[in-house]
Amino acid sequence: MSTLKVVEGDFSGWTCAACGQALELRPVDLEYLGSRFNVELPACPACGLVLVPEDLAQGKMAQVEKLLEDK
Amino acid sequence: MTKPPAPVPFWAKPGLRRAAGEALRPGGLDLTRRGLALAEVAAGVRVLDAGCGPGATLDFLAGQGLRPCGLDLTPDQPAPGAPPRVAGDAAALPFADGTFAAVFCECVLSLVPDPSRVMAEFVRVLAPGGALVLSDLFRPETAPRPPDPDGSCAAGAFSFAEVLGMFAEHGLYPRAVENHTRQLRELAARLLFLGELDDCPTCATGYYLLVARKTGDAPCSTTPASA
Repeated sequence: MSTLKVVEGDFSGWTCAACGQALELRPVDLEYLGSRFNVELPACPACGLVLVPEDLAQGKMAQVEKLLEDK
Repeated sequence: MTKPPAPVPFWAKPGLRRAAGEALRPGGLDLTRRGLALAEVAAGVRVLDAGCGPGATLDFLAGQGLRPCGLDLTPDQPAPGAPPRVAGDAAALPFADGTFAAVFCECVLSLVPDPSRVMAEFVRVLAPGGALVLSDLFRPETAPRPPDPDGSCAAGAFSFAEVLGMFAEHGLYPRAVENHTRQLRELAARLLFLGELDDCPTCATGYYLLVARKTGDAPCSTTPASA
C-alpha cells in the first residue's frame, strides 16, 4: 500500500532541536490498536524524530483512533 | 438545457484507489487469498470474478494457477497476456450453465439493483459442488438502511440474515463465514487520513467473507445456521 499524504504546508522552517537538521517529509508507520498506517510526516533525517502537527493530532488522527476503537 | 452529469460513484473515485489500492475494497488481495483457501478449488479450473474492476483479483487468481475470467459492465482493456474480461451484467451472465468451479464476488453484491437475480445467476454458472466466494459489507439487523449520497456500497449493504436468506433461496450452502470488519475500519481510516471522508459513515457497518457451495441443482429449503 502506498504512503498516505496526510499533511499539507511548509515544514522547511522546522529543525530538530537535538540534531539541528531541517525536517523532511518521510514515510512513517503509525500504529494503533494493531492497525498500521504508512503516512508521510516531517521527520529529522538524522535521528528520525517525527513531528506530528497539532491539527493532525487533534483532527484526522483523533478521528481514526475513534474509528478503530469503534466508539 | 443539458442534463447534469451523474455523480461519480464512490467506488470509481480516485481517492478510493489511493486508499485501497487496485483491489478497491476492504482487505484487498489478502481477503481474496483467504477466500480462495476456503473455497478449496483445484488447480487449473475456470473461475469467474464478477465485478472485476481494474482486475487485481484476476491477476492474483491467474498467479495461483487458475483460469480466471472477469466480468464487468465496462471492463478495462486487459494487458497482453492478462486474463480475459467480458462486458456484461451480473444479473444476466453471458456464460453457459456450470461453466465455473468458483465465482468470486467481492464488494459488489451491495451495488447491484437485483441481488437475488445475481445470486441465481451465480448458482447457474457454477458447476455442481462449485464455490461462491462472497465478501461485502453487512449492516446490523436493527440498523436502518443508510442514505446514499455518493453511491457507496454501505447504502446497499444487507443484513447477514438477508444474505443467508438469499443463499437458502438459491441452493447455496454456507461452508465458512468470517468477520473482517477490522479491514473495513482500516480502509475507512485510510480514507479519513486522505481527507476522502469527513466522518465515518461505515461505523455501524461490518464486512464479511462468506464461502458457500452449490451442492446440487435443487434449491435449499431451510435457512442455514450462521457460523
